[in-house]
Amino acid sequence: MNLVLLLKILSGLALGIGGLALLQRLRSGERRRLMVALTFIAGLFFLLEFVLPPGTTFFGLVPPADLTRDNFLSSWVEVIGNVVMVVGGFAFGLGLLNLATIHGRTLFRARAGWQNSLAFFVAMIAMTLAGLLKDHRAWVTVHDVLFQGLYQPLGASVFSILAFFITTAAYRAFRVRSGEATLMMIAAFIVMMAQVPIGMMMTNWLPTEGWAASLRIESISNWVLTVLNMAALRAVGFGIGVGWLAMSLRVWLSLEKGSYFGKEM
Amino acid sequence: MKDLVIVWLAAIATLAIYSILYKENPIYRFFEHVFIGLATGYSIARLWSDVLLPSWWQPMLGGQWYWIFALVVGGMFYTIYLPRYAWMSRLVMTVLMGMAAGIAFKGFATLYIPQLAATFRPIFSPAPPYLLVNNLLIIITVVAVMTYFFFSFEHKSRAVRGTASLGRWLLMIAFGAIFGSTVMARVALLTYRLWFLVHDVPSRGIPHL
Repeated sequence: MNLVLLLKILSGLALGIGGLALLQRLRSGERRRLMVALTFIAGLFFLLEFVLPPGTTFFGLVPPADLTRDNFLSSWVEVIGNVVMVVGGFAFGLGLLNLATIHGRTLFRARAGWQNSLAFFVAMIAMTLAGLLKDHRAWVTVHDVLFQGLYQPLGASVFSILAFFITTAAYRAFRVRSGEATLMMIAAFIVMMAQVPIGMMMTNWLPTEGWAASLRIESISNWVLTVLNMAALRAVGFGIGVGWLAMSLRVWLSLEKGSYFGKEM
Repeated sequence: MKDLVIVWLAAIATLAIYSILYKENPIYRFFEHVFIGLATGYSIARLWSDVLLPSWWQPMLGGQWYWIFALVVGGMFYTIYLPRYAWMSRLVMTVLMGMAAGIAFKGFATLYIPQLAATFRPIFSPAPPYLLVNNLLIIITVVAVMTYFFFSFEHKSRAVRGTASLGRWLLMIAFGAIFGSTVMARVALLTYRLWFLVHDVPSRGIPHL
């Protein structure tokens, strides 16, 4: 890195911090107005990028890269996407700080289970180093041992024990002798049986072609999944979509009130 | 040697996690924390090597000095710990939410409008009868389930009540199907782990003399 670039970076940092200091001088009402304005502009950019027809230029000044597909805002979508990704990446540290605070307190105050907190820190630091330095020869083995010996099997085991919990939950749910519970159990039974050899054996005697083939358990399961299940989930999705749109509109226009949005600044 | 260590570590880790099925115990707790630590460390490494290094650090050191402003904006998140400056974390958060709101309009149009078109397909056409019956069933299911979730007015009319009731029954079938698929996915994972314990550990974990 040359000296000029380093100076530019440091100047940029100073400029940014100076900008934050200026922001801090704003009064409460001004801060709120700034927030509302920036939120609106941020949303407006993506809305305009979507609704403006292909080939639209900025007063004839900024032509889009592809006149048949893009408008003058389209080329900025990727740039802004990158910026959001980087800025969002920095937010990861918030979660990290939270975990470090909780486990750090347990460890330094020697509370019950401090050994677990120590294990957390050791595992985190070792995996971070192994992940970052895995291209170095000496760290390849460490990375492989941690990843294949611990991370992968622990992940698979944690998710697989859900099979037991989900079965217990199902037993409780299906004990309720209602029409709905029965229907749910039948649908679950069909879908599960269609995925295991013993289930498929039940209808193996039916022909694989012709109308009778649609009575085979895998065909019934496929029909339940692709017709009834898909349509019901699609209806739920439409509801979620309309709610999402309404909520987005409220956020975009800063109409949302509540503990987060209505706080003093 | 490395393979041996990996196999035995994996076996111990698997058994430690399954020990919770008997009862809550310190070994399970220990390995649970190890897993959280490893997952966090893995995420940090991936975040740096997949996002920050290629999209921020390298361009910045490559001459695009203005990427330093991303650090300043990202740093605004951390003002949440300083009550006097905490409003700045909300500023950056609301801008991101504004962007998400703007994207939502495009998302809704691209995600749900094609689904709407795919839902209302012809029920009278030269297509095979079973397809027409399926098309009709899809329309009925979508309308009935949406009616069940329609809370803007009270379901007083018999027609609305009946449609909502049908929607609830159809939802139960869908939930059953989702449940069945989820169980099978988890059982597949469990089978894989058990296969590892009874097959891979003896074959790879015990050196053949």
